[in-house]
Amino acid sequence: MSFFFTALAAFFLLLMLFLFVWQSLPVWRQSGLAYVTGESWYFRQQEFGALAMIYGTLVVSLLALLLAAPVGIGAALFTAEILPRRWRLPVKAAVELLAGVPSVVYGLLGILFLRNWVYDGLQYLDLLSGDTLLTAGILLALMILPTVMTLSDDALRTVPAAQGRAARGLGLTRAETAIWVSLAQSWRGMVSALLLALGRVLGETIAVFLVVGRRDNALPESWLSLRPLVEAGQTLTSKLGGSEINIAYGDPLHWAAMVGLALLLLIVVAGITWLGNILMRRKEGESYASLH
Amino acid sequence: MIETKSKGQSDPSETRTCILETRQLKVYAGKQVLLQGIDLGISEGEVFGLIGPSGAGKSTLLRCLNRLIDLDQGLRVEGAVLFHGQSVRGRAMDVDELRVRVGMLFQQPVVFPLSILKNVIFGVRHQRKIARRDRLLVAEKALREAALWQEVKDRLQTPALKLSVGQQQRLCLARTLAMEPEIILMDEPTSALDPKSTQAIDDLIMELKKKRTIVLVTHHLNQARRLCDRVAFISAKSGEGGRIACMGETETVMSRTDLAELSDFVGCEQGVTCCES
Repeated sequence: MSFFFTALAAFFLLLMLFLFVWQSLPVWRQSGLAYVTGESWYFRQQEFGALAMIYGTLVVSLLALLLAAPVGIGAALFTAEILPRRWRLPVKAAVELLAGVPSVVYGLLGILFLRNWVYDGLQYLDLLSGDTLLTAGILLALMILPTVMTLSDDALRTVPAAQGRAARGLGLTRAETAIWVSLAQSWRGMVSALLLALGRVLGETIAVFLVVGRRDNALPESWLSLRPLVEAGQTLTSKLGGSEINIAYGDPLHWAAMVGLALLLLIVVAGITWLGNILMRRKEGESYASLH
Repeated sequence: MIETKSKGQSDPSETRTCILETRQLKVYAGKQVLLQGIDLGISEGEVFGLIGPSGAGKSTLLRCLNRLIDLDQGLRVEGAVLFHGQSVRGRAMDVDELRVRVGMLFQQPVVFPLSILKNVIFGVRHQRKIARRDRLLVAEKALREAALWQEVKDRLQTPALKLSVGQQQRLCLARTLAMEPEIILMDEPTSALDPKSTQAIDDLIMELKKKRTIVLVTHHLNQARRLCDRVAFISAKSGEGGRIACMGETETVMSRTDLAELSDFVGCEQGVTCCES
């Protein structure tokens, strides 16, 4: 039965991939690889380069993960290892409620508070507005925090209590036990939590759309420059979620360019899932041992 | 400080210093009493047995001795546990250091999903800095002491989980021994093992008692007879906490007939009689 559903899922994925490739063919024919590496997107001039959106997506995602991972995993460690048992369930239930809040609500909160905080807090950097890649990254970090935390907590709970007890019996401190037993044995679950969160980050549209600034062609002068973080930008999803998609529908090349963005998004998400699966398939003993 | 006589000494009148003792030790789980007023002293170099029926609180008492009981939420401990005369519950006591000096072997072997070598040095490498080249020496010494070296010397990098349960238990003992504890607390270490592995652990305890102090929780009276210098019989009437019904040299305790609970326990073990009460 599971084989049937796996085959069905694979069929739909391939169908989607085929559809996106087919629909985006005109832009690949016109621009080739320059569609991915091109720095300019001017649809009136029929110039389609998606690099700025790929850059925006990567920066926002990375930022969200960098902010959410330590806080989420730290919070999970706190609830699993330190918080008294009677407090764990209420805390976990509250966190899971946060995970269910619709993204548009987060987006509105972003407009209401976060955008202003970023603008006021970083005024010394001469910000033009609070709609920046940084704002989107922070907002996404807040959005995925409950997912990271609750899944990390689940992963930590898969470590048998006897292991922690044995480590404490050997004189390891609580912190050492948390790191060398709990974290070391549940890191694959943590990676899984982060990948799931990354999936949400990459696919998130409306919240990002509301605070990212949606400025086309926002690329840094130097790839190592942090300046673009505090400037407006564009992600693949914010582009696809904007009004340009309606304009594009009447123009085959423009439409192909927009569908091409969806194809890129699909490939990135599939790539991350594939990477995650490879990590997951590694034998537990090997992966744990590799940390020691 | 209590001084006790120990079996197997050349001079029966020779006394040994008590290194671990409890005074009016009580453990509660909410309002329920788990242990009531435990007073005992364990001398250096002896094997001290804790015997008694299931649920009497033997393991609870054992966990009090190195404060592993602290990990059990909802339990309250009163009274004193003294290690070398110093309260283990005092602020001055470093509990992690205490657990290094008072090691523990659990009922079920708990090996980490690591290689045999890494399991042996798991605790010691967190306790002190040891050079990479010295790790093997530390492991070899501990594995030899745990009589496991000959069986694993050619496969130290093999996952420890591939060992038999008996070997895993000896590996856990090696891991504890690598810490060079003064006292080893053993909580029914052979209850999950087959007779051959049990024999191997028993032989090990006989060997270890030459150098270390051992507190052994066991259900098996034959094991207690073979290994223990002294035993404490812990009994618990329903609704009351465990208490020491009698304590002394092993044979003296075992041969007592004036204590109904002990007679019942010994009778059950020997298959002579088994009373409901």
